[in-house]
Amino acid sequence: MSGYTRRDLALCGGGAALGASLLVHAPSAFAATSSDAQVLAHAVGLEQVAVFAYQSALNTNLLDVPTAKTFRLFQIHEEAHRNALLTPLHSLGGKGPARPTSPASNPLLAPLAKARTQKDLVAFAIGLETAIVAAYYDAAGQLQSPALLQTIAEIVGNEGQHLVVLRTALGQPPVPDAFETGKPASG
Amino acid sequence: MVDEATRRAFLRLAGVTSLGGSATLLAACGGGSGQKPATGPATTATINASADVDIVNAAIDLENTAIAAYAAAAKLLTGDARTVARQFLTQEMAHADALTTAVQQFGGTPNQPQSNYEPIVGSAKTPTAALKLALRLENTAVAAYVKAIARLTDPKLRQTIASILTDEAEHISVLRTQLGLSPVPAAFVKGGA
Repeated sequence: MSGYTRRDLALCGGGAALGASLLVHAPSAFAATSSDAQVLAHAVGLEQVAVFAYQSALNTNLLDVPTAKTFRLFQIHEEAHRNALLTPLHSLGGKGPARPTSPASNPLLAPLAKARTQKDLVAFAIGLETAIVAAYYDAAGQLQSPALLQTIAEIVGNEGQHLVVLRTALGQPPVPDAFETGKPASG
Repeated sequence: MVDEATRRAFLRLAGVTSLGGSATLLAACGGGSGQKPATGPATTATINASADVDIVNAAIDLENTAIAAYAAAAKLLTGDARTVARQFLTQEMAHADALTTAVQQFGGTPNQPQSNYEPIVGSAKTPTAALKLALRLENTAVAAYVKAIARLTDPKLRQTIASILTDEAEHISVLRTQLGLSPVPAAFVKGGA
């Protein structure tokens, strides 16, 4: 994970009057806020949905061995993301949402009930990963803490890489757009 | 790191310097750059805008290097690999265009491509070498963007960088696959500067 410890603050503050002025007048740019906690809680919730989704897909026995191996790997990644976000969320006094217990727990999981083939499950995973990318795209504009911004940057890149593998599995272009926002308009 | 120009662009994006307290650092922190406020005394807004412009200009430098690398790679590669290189070239050009527009909107002067990228791309003389160079440049860009997103003050710029970073991470997966490597080697994409 990113080990940001306000290095930028220290470097800029010690380097130039303009940098010091920036720090004095824009302290909010260097500290996590209550809204950061809200964004984090939302992200933790999505990661938990993803962990549940990949496990549910694995439980169907519809996946061949290579695809199951991929889903298991991605589930591990999502769990790692969740854990990495939960720590700063707790530091901010926030609490993670409850983990999903059934596909009815979250609208994003609804397609699971209709999945009948491996192709259905991969398509579902693409939709879920795309929604998560969109959430992180939004978060990039909302978060104030540099450390958290760095963390979500490292995560959203990974979600994009998941999309490459999943799209490839369905014969889709792996990188269809120059800007991966997760939003329909980017496509 | 693949060359001095790319290394400098990375350092400006990351906000660090090998010299400590150099002009590079000052530029990244909002002072000492070629970018000047349009009028009047420096305000928080203009200082922030200047710092953001410096960061985005460093990103433009990285994108222009990638453009040169993919243009060269497209001449060496064949078949699907060439098709991919051309697509990625187009996408890097779109990134450079978007970042150039952003700098202009902030009242800055966008960095221009270097006159000659041969010292960077000339060493890749085989298809495999071209792919490896592209992968190194993509990893450098991702590492820089991960740092940059934490430094940018403008929310929309952070979103633009996030969408570009994700695209570059996707490029990495494709290139790694072409080189016989795992497409998703870790849960956190840090790049490799």
